[in-house]
Amino acid sequence: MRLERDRRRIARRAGLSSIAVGLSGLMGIALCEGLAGSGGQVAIVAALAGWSKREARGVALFRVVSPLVALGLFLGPLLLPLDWVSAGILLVLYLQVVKAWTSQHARDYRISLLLALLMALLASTLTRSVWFAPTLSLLAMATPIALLCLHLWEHDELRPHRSEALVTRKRTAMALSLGPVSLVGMFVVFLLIPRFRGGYLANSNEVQSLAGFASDVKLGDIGAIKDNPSMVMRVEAEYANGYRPRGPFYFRGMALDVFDGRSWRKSRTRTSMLPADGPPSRILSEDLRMDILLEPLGESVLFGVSRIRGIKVPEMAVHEGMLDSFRYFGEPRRIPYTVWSRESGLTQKQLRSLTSSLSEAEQERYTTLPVDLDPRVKELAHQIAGEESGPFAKSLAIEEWLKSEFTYTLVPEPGEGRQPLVEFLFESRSGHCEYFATALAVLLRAEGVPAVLVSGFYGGEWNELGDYLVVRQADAHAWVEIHAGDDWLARDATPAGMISPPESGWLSQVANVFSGWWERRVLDYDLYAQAETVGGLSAFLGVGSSESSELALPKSLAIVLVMAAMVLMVVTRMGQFFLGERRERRIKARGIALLYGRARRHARRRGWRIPKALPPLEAAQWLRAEAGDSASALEDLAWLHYRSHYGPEKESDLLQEARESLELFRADLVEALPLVDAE
Amino acid sequence: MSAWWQSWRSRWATAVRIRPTAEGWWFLLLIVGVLMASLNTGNNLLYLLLAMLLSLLVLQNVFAEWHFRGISLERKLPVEAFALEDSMGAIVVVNHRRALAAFSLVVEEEECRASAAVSSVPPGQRVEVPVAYQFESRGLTALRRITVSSSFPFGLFRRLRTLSVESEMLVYPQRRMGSVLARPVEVGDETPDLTRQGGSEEFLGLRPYEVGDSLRRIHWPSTAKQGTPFIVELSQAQSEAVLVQLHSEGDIESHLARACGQAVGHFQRGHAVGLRAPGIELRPQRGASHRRRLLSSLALYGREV
Repeated sequence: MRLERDRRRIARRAGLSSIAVGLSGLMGIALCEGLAGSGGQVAIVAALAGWSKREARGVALFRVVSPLVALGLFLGPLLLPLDWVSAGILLVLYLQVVKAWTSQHARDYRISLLLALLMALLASTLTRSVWFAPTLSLLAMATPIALLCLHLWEHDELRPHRSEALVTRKRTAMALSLGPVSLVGMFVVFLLIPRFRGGYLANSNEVQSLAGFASDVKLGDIGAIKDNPSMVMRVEAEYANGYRPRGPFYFRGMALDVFDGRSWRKSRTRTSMLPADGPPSRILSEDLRMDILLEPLGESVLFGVSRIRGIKVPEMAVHEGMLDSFRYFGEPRRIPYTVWSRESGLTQKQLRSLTSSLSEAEQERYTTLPVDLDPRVKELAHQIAGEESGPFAKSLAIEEWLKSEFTYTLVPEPGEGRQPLVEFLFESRSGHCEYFATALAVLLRAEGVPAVLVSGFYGGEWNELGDYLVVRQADAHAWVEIHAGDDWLARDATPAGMISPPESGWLSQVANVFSGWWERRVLDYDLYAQAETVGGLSAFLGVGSSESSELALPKSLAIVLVMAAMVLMVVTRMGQFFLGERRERRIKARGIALLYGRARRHARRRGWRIPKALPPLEAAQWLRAEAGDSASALEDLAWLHYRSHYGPEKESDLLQEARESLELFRADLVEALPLVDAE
Repeated sequence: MSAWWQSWRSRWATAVRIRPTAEGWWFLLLIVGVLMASLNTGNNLLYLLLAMLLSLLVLQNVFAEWHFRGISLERKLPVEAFALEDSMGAIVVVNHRRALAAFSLVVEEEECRASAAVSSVPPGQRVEVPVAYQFESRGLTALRRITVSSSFPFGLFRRLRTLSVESEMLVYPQRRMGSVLARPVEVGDETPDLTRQGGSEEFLGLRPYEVGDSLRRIHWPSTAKQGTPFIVELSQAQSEAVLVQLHSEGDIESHLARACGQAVGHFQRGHAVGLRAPGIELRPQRGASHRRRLLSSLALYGREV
């Protein structure tokens, strides 16, 4: 009866842990987008309903339905707008639901487990959601427990000889501890697996670029992305003295110098390449350093706060284009980099006195106006800033005029097909940042001030928990840079009433921090990060910091291996603790006397009332006289007790013999000595 | 060199071997698939999944290795065994570790059909697992090795170790129970009177029914009470003696099977049984030692010892 209950317990635990594994697989698929994700969500509900049944149901129904489903999923890609991958995923989901309803034996649950692993594999290629982290963690923790329980269940189906109950508290604790051990093991192995680049399909599954940033700016396009809360950048800014400014910052991306009346674009100019090794030499200690994690955008542009003094992308050279525009090589992707910026530090009085020092050709390039520009624009510019002298003063005058006379809107009124700028200036008098920036740049150019339009991001949201700035698509902005003195100055004519996204709550901030960790430590973990991790570990342990990297790496790896061995030893000791080492220690501490005491207690439980006053040997002899030779093992134990106390032998040398005597005595008591009626 | 080779061979023979189970092959296939996918795509989520599978592999091996150490086996052979018949013996599994029980063990004899499973052996304890031995042929059978295997903890890989446990078992010939009674043979004054039933017999006791026992001797009240058939054991008259004759022509194994069946049948009835075979002459006697001697003679007939 007890063993039967034990069998049922094993089966129940195997079922529960397998359900956890199956659920994690389904959750992985549910995180995907499109039909697969929807299918995953439906499958979760259907599978949960199946798992909630105590017995298998619907076997006959599934036998009828399954061929139809298989046929439908085969014909689907041929007849319907359904791709083969989605059809395959739906098939796997269906099979998991069938298993949830019909599983009876350990083998069924094993198949369910295999399906869950397959689903995790599919989900790994289809989603990069941060919610995949808890899903995968659940999978990693539940899988070893499920495998263990299923193994015990399957072995039990062989009807093995059983001398004791398998399920005990200690063993349950040990089985449960497998989950966290597996999870830690997963992350350790993940960090140590060598990363290679340039696989056959490398970068083929890069994340989709965020829309909204392009190499040209067409008036009227920005409205859509201002509603988009997707994260673009995560910025950690710090001065050399440890001060961490919170912004707001103007993150300039591209400077556009050619305006045709409707859109801005960049003229073709020569670019130079910045070397990949080491920080740029132009950096000073007072420069602001920003570590940026940039999400993939429409263009492979790098952002930084004006005036950019240096930029560095790990293991990659950077293109430096016209007007401090920087680009990285290759297709847009998630990229971490560092940028150093320096403030101008000039007062307004000094700025007012500056004049442009550009060459004649450059002056002409940056003051060119559209050929078909309405002549009223020039008149207007002269009217507003004609009396001012110097680029800065003219810019200030126009900015003030725009801010006071115009209103900000994300949805400008549709025009009648003429130039958008002219409509903005003379008719609607409302628009978003691109209109204001374009108006400022064109009016300044009309007054002979070199001006370009800059597109980028402004502001961002400070994350208190992560101590960094989050910049979103909704922070997209356009402003103007004018040339004064030897440098370009940022000027912004957009009124202060521009729409800002609502501030996030603390839960959102926690999610953002976790998401950042997930992206940096998991999704973007590459060979460089791997070397950095090992290097960081070496530095933490004070090894290899003054050595060359060739020497430091093997040493660091050796440290990692030693640490892994230490972790293994700790796990081993923990296991021994769970499995009875503690009891062994107690026996060692008290030795043979304890074993003798147990033997006497055992005899008492069997009904043999040995007089308490008798010393060990006499007690054993009494029992032998009463119960016969079957009790002679107790006499041996008593002699061992005397030898350990009074003889020259060490107790530890006799302990094994004493233990065997105790076992023998117990066995003899059970088999040979009659159970005495204890009144 | 030869000593080294021998030592190496014996080590190799007793070394732990690892074999993937059916699920283990699927698991390995999945690892290879995920490895190829992660190397080709550089997708870190696939690397994470690969890391999970590899950590499971490591856990499996660490626990299995940990769990497979310190186990020894002893053999308790059946008291007697007839060829091609199950005889109950036992294999004693001893767990010498101070901690960690041994789980899901399967023990198998290499030289004969005998296997058993045991769910757990607690640390520092011995568990006697009943095993049904079945030998293919009569004679002295040397039992040298027992294989112990386990796919603990995850059932993905089976670890096997062949332990050297040497014993010898004298296997009696197959019993052909169809011809229970020997042909009446005159042996001096002790001519068996096989047609006699009762008369001088005295009640000795009851014992469980065995194949070949006469149904007339079933003690129905005890059988009904216990649920299994019981036989009345009676003392036999001195004159009830038989001589089993073994012919040497034709299929000797068939003759041996018949002779063995006859001898056992008569011993069960309490007859004095003798044996006559080319080169062997055993006078009819009773008793366990005579029975053993007679059956041993049949077991070793024509065999060089």
